[in-house]
Amino acid sequence: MDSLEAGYGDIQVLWNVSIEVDRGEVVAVLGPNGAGKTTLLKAIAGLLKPRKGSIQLDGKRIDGLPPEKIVEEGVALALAEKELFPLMTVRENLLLGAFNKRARRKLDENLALVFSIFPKLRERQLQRAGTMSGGEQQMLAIGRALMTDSKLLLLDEPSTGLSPLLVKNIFEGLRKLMENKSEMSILLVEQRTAQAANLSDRGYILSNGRVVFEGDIEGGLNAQAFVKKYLGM
Amino acid sequence: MDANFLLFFLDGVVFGLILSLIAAGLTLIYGLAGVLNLAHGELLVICTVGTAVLLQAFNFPLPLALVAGILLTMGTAAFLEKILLRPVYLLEGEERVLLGLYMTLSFSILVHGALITSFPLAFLTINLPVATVDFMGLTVRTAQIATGVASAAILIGVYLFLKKTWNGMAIRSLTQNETGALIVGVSVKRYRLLVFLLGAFLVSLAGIIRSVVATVAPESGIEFTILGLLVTVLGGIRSVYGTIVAGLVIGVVYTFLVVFIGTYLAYVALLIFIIILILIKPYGIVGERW
Repeated sequence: MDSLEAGYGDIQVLWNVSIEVDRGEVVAVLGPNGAGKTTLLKAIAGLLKPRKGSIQLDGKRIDGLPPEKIVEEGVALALAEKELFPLMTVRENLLLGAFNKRARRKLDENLALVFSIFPKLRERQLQRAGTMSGGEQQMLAIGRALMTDSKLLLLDEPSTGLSPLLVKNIFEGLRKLMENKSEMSILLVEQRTAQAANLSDRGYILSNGRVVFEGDIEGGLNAQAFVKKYLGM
Repeated sequence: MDANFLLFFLDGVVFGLILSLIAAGLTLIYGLAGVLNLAHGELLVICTVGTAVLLQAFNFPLPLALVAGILLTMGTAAFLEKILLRPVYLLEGEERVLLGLYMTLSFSILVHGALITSFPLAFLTINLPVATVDFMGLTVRTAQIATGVASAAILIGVYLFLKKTWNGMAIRSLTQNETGALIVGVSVKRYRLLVFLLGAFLVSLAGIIRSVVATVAPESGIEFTILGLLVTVLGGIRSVYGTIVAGLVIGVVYTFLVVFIGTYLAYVALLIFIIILILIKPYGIVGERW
């Protein structure tokens, strides 16, 4: 992604943001609330049209394409708001993740993968998505994104609003996922810096819609101090 | 009295199923596109008038005229969706609903005027070859049985389509969460057109089925729109399952009201009945809150 600018209506959120994710790499984007992290993911997935700059996937420009084409090109998104289908069952939500043609062919394989990463979803298959707890809904949102069989997985704050135990569950699931799908790239947006830093190969720090740091983010609790230093908090 | 009761009930069920066919399209279009299609009853009449004209003036064989009528209706729906409603989709929320009401109401008035002035005598009545059958000691009109079975079969087909096919799942996903549907790669534009075509197809079938049990006049579009809206609102505006239940309730209640207090008062009583039901269950009779 190169010098991307995006926003809502008259309000510009992202300013000249350039980010790169290599194949099989896990990249974290850290930063406080309102830094533009979610906007960044929405722009990549085509839910927002970028105003300037370009987005490329494997050398092919995808900016300006409608969202369904971007899914076909191989980008999956799990938003913090989850955006599930509340009256459908867990299973139906997952099946819809595999709506694009490429994913339909690998439906059984990906469903087995999702169930192995989040066994809870297998138990809850026939429950309506709207009646599940926040943590289970988060698992379902990630599971549904995995069902799209993408090259690049965009994860928007998978830990938001969850108890520490559930956060641990989610991050364990992500670790399992990385072992199983080593060719898939992940762009992970987080406020909870320690876990995200542990999981990722590299990171960016976003503040007020601009990249203020890029490179290795030290693991563990140091990461928190590290981010604070860059954000001047 | 018992025998009559059963026959009236059967009449009501058939009428209710026809109303469900009309309202199913309204519900799907509103749920997915955010447009309350006030021209929906006119679409029904376009099918019956088109068929009647082809039969009367051009001597088409019945099956061919019916297929042509259905295609004409679906073509009109595609024109409505793709051309006339284009500005409506630039708006969101209440503004979209309002502009959608204006556009479809104007289109409905236009179609109504065009049909009653150009084809004032294009009534459609389809007679079945066998008029009555004896069933458990009762003499039942074949038309009642045939139309009841046909509408029930079509509604079951719609249910299975929505539940079991990729296209049906995509339609349900868009009505439940548009952002979620976009994320998994469902195209809003494509499915907006598809629900208009599906709605036009169902309302055409409703018109044809209605013309087997009664005569459909060129000016009756508005009546079907109003009945369809009543069913849609009572069914909980976005639930197709609720629409079918509501259609049956309104069909049966209305038929008995006509028998006991006459056609004119039946309408008034039906509206009072629906108002009371909505006061008790504001989210529709199956009570699913969105």
